[in-house]
Amino acid sequence: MKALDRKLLRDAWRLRAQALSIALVCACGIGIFVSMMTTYASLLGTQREYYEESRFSDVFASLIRAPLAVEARLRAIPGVSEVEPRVVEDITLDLADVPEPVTARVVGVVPGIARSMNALHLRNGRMVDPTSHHEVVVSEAFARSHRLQPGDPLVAQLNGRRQTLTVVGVALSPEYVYVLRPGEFIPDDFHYAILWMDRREVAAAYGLEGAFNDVVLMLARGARERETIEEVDRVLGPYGGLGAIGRDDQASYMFIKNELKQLEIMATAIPAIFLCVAAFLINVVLGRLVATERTHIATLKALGYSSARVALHYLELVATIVFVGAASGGALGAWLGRAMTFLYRQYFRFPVLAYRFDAWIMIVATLVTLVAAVSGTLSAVHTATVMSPAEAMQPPAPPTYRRTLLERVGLGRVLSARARLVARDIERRPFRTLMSAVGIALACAILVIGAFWRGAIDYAMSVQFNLTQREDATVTFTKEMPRAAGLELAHVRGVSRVEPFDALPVKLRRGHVERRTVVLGLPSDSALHVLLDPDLRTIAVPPRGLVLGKRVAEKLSVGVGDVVELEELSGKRRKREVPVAAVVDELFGNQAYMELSALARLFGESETLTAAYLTIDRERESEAVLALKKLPGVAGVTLKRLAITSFREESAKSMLTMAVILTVFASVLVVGVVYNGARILFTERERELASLRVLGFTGGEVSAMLLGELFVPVAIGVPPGLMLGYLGAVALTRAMSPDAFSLPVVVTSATYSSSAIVVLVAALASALAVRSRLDRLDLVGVLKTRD
Amino acid sequence: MSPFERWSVAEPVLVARGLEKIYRMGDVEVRALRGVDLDIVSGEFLVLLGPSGSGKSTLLNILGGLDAPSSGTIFYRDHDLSKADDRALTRYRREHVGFVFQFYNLVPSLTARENVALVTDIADKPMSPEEALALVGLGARMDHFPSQMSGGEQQRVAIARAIAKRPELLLCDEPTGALDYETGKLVLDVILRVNTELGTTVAVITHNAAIAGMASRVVRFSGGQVASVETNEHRLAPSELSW
Repeated sequence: MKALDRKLLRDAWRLRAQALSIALVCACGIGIFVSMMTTYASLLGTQREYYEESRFSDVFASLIRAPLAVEARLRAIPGVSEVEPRVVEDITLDLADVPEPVTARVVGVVPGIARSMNALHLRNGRMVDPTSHHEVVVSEAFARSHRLQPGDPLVAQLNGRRQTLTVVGVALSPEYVYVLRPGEFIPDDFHYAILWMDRREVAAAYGLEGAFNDVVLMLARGARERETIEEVDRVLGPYGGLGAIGRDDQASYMFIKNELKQLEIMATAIPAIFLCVAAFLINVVLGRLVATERTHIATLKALGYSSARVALHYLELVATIVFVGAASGGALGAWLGRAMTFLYRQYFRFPVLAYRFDAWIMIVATLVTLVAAVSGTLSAVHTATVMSPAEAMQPPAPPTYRRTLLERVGLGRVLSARARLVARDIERRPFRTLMSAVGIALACAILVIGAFWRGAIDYAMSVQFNLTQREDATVTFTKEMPRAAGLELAHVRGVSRVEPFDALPVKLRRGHVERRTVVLGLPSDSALHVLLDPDLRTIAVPPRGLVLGKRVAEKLSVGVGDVVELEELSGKRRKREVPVAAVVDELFGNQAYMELSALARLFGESETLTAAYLTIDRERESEAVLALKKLPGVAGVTLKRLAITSFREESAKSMLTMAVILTVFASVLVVGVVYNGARILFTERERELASLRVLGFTGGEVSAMLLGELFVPVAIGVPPGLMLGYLGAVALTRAMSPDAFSLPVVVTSATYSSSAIVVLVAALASALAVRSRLDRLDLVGVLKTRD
Repeated sequence: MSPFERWSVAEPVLVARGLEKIYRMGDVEVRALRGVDLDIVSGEFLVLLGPSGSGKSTLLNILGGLDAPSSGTIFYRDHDLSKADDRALTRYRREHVGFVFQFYNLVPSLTARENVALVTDIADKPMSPEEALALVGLGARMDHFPSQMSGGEQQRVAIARAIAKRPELLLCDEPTGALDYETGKLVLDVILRVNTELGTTVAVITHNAAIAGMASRVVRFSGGQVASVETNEHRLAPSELSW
């Protein structure tokens, strides 16, 4: 081994603490990048393959009732390659040990034949046998949360009739990868199931023999979805068609798409920011580290080593550090990525959600880091090598100091001699102080970006569930009811307030932009579902005109006073022009609102109700729910507190997991930066500090100076860092707000203060580590030698 | 042939004419060399004597290819060092010059043997590190790190490192400056042995006038100029020096 290679290894060992902290910064940048990118790639790949393999349909349509003969007409539409008519109903399940309401969507399919579309993936058991009765295949999430096995009974209310079904299989479907109860935005696997049964059996229960009320279609390659959908609507219109939709409007597909879009931003923007910050810090830190090697560089040159060889030597050192960081970052990233992918298994029901580790992700991350490290090193080596070795070997010429601005404006007297020393040093090298401050600011911003999610989610939930949705439960009716239906609900023991409403599925159109949504017809004195202005003040439901959620309004690019076209998606599919009366800033959901009687007047009808909000005494909840379920005309009861729990447990979990990971990584980054800054500062100032000690300054006084210089960039960097973090949070929430749910840009003071505290603690710990070196300073030795 | 006779008839190795060097130290302009003419002849033991700040270190650095003059010419044999680029100067240092510095400039992370190997790794026909260290009397301490050695020992390692490549020229900048009296004389003895036994041309710069006693030629330096040149008829052994 060459002597220079030995030097490399020994230097790496000598600098191990610094090298390790730099490697950690690399590992953090690379780890975040690799974990999120690979998670995203795994999900995306799995989703594409699954939809492909299971032949997920392209078009979905619901209708009231059409004879099976209509199937042929649908098949004849140009661009349609396959058609499968089905019977789909929403039912209630009776589970002995569950007091809360449990509902299910039952999909009646033709058993026995190989299904061409939306193939079920059996996890357990078998498909429904066409020759047997009362058999049912259950969605996996539900089966798992109730420990249902083939052979277990399941009691269901089919069109008001109690029937005991037998579970024969547990399955997954591409239609229900993300299982959502219609109208909700949070999966609730414990209280909502998807069931597959023999179509004839469901049809018989609902009087739909020889007919269908739901159909899925596959498009031929190159077919135009929009035109085909229009044609499907034309065919199904007379049969009560509710409007066909493409994949983009299919609930499960839409949610996965949104989730992936969010994850894509999480997985690209944040790690990219991380990687860049890490790269920047590595650049700065390594630059300064190499700069402290100036005498060695000069000696090597004096001995006859060329500048290129010397540069290579330091590049090898840096590459060693980067590769140690990259290897551990890669391993960490793979481990985290696997863990996160498995976390997604909880609510993305894919048959196989395998974790894939793409080498190119790792390569990109390593290259970016390496380039940053190399450029930082090269510029420092360059500075040291362009200098003639004679000059470089001299102690640096006494730098040009001058009176600081503070002193020049006459405030010199307030500064002690030592404070002046610190101030002058900082002012002499403003760029270096600035770069350190920028590093601190970036690290601080990352902390904010990592940590703000929890506060934002808590805020969103408290606005949504305390201020907007003030009900305890929602009751949906099997069909449209007259206003009096509400009174009956009020008689149930435990129900203290009833507020009926109408939920009308519509298509809103402005120009050629259209949006499917639901208009909620609320009573004018609505107190259980409250509309809020941006300052969270209650606004009354306007007596006429439409109230739009902000996201819908933005999609349609309309504001107050604009007129939109509203088309019913059921019945006669009537169209009306409606002015926008207000735009509300809702965090969850995508509804539009109208005053209940105004909505009825719009179509010249009397008020009808499809659902009601209720407040229920908590002690009587189970009793009340049981009684409500038994009322005729009640299709289902849902409890808000269950939605909150399941949101906390599921949807919030992935974000919070990421927030924790980001916070941990950001903290490591901060420690790496501050510690290295402190170590390098110490190396640079060692002689000066030792001289001061020799002159009689105490260890405390000398370290106060060092710490003073160390904390100035922290003090300069933290405030803009917090602001930068806020801007980052704004950009991220803007970029990743899905259709159904938008995070408010709320950065709580707890987030700010915890971010600042992490930086300060890191700085303090680093300072203490350096302080202990100061105490061990060999005064005579330092002054005698010069390297 | 005595060493004296040898250098008196030999060709000059280095020829400097009209060397000027101007430094900018912060806001101050320092004229370190003001027109220096000097020849260094093969095999001689030259002592450049002058007070600190007289420009002697600057001259040595230029002679050794560590620095370039602001004006004037310097020839090594027929190579014009004043016009040489970094590559050429690196080659010059690698092949022909050995340096000994006041503060040794050893690489602290390498042992004595490895510090010497740093040079033998890149030199053409070097002696082995062991041989070089034996020459300076450190055969027994080859695997010690600089921090485990005394100043004199470190300086001897530096000398071993400088001579291991069998340079034509050994340039020593205050080689005893950081050493005590006895150790200093020991180091000077080693340098003299290099001169006599290996025939290496040696230039030592010092402010210590006593050292001039062992030189074959003494160049006195003052204010960036050569003040006088004298040849020593009576050379003293290092052990005979006192200061």
